[in-house]
Amino acid sequence: MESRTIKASLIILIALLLVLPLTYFFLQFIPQRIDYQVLIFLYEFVKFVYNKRILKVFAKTFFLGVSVSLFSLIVGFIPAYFLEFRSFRLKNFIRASLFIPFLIPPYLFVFSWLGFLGKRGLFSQIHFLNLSIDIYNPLALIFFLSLSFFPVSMLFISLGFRNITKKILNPIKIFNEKGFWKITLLLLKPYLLISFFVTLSLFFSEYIVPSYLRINTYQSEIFVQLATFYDVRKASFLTLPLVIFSLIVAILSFKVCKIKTEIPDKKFVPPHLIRREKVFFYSFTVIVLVLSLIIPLSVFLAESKLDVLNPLLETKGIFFTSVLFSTLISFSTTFLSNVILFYLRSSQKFVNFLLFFTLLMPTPVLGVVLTTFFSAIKLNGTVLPLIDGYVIKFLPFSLLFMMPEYGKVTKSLESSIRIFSRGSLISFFKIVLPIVKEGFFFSLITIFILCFGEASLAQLLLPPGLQTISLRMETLLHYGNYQAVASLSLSTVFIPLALYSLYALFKGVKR
Amino acid sequence: MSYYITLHDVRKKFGKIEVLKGLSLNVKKGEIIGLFGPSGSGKSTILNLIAGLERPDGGRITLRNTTVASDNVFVSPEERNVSMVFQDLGLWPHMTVEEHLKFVSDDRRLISVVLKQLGLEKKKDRLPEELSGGERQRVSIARALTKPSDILLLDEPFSFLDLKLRERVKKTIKDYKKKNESTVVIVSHSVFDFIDLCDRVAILKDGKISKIEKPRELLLEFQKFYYRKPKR
Repeated sequence: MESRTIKASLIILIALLLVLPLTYFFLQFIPQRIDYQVLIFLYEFVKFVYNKRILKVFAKTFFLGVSVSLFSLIVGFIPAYFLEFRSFRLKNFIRASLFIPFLIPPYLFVFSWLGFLGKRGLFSQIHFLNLSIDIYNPLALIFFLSLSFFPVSMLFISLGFRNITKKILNPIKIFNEKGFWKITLLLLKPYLLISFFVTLSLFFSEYIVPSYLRINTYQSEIFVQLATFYDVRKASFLTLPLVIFSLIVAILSFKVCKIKTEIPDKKFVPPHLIRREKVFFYSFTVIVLVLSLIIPLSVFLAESKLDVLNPLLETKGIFFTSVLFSTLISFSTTFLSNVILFYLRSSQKFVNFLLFFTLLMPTPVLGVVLTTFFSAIKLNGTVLPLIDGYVIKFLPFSLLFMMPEYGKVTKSLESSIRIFSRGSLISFFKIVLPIVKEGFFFSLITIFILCFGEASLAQLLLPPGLQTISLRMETLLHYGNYQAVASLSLSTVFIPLALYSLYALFKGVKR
Repeated sequence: MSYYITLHDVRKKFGKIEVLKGLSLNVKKGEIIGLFGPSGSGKSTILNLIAGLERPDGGRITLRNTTVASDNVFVSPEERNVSMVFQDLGLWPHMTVEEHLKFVSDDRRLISVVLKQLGLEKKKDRLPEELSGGERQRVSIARALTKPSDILLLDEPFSFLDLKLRERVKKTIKDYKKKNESTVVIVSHSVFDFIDLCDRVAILKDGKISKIEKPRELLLEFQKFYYRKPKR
């Protein structure tokens, strides 16, 4: 197939998946004729969105979001620095372990903490005093979501640190060693900014966790309008400011943050940790891992009473549906991101904008936009809106995982592919994919895990009669069947571990 | 007279720097022409323009009497059927030496002949990272010589090779040229690379061809320049 044909098909596909639903969403706000109906529409809009209660909720949500983003940034910055600029034992193991918390769905994370600190929690039992800590407050929300999102910040900051190569570090050593932070922070600024906004968007995507913790947030308001009152119009009213917000931030990020994909310098061997650093870094890592991984896993183990098989067998149909669905999504998303990065490489600006915009679009926005569009074309109630939603939601993650890999496809390598090309597709499969295969598998596995545990978008877009394991767990939680939830959570956490082990094995078998 | 490769009033800018300022060059069929000039004079850019890896900002390029680049025409590299050796080699890191050649041609006999000619038979199962600089360069040359094409472009093809190997590679290039009736363009910053290989050498200066000479004449000029008596 011709390269031009593939490019054109790709643009059409992106238009169908993203641009068309968004355009339709905006069009519904433009009145078809100018008459008194317009005034009524505007009045309704202003009255609904700009009333005191909604504005108060929005302000509170924004404050919580900013706090979560800042804490995630701080927690993610420390390991990113040590992982990129210091040598120590078990580096890759620690890197992988620190990324796993992001793969545990946030609602399961909170469930585990409720099981630990709640009234009937493990902590109260260990303490003999029946001491329970009230975690139904905004501080707990900030704490839980920061622990859940910090790996994303770590990922972005690591990307930024990777651009600070020997070429930059050596002159600093020669001319001004004290200028390290002055220069690196300046280079890192775009990555810090994008990391901040992405975690903010992740926060706006999360409405299950605030509702567990009985905190009313803006995203919960949208969810209530859409899923409880089935009022798409009011949900759209509430969504509009968020769409505009993500569009503005995407444009700003696109202007400010030029994500570069430097090839990691293999010859760069960072210095070993000195004693003081060792104490700090290892204590920090242990604390973070205990809070974000060990406690949730221990609670799952304790609550499940080690009976994993029975709840799993009871839900085997749903489990297999989820596995199949997640496999389909992870393959299509990873493949799409690869095709985009290879065939649209000359349009780097477009790819960056696509990355930022999809990354910054909160889940409720996606849910409302797709519901509106698919209802209009009479396809609501099918599985198509959910597939579209998941592809848009996970595409930016796959693009992010693959971008550094495409840094390996250098200009001369690309030129040689074009000169010795035996057809665009053959070159893609025989040369490009083998070069980027490590990132490809990482993206495949990670998207599978994220999709497997995703519940927010599924709640909005899943057609009647179909259920995923994540929604099943959510329902069981509402019914108070904690044992079954813990058992299923274990299997959800076990999948990432098993898949990552396979990935590590695959990396080890490399020639 | 019709030429096989023609560049007419070609201009190319990189940012604010104008590398080629209305360059014109004609190459006859079956000719081996060398491009000589200091670093940054635009030698590699000319090869990239002929191959279609860069698009000119102005002027016209014709290959085989067909316009491949002008104000309103641009033929992609895939459709130009040229073979090329890249300055930074452009080897595919996951492919062995033999796999590189197999990707380009299905002719097993040709592959084994080229491997033998370039002394790579014993290294055919190795990955690029397992080879020395000179061996990698020979793989890049072998790949180019395995693709049958009537236009061969070589960007600094001898930079990692010792004198003995240079002579061997020069002979292989001549054989390829004879077999495929190819027109060859070689870029180098060493005068010696053109000797016994090129029919003519074009010298680049200020983004244009300043003159075209026979390789021996160019060598004599160089010797005069380097061995002149210092002024007292």
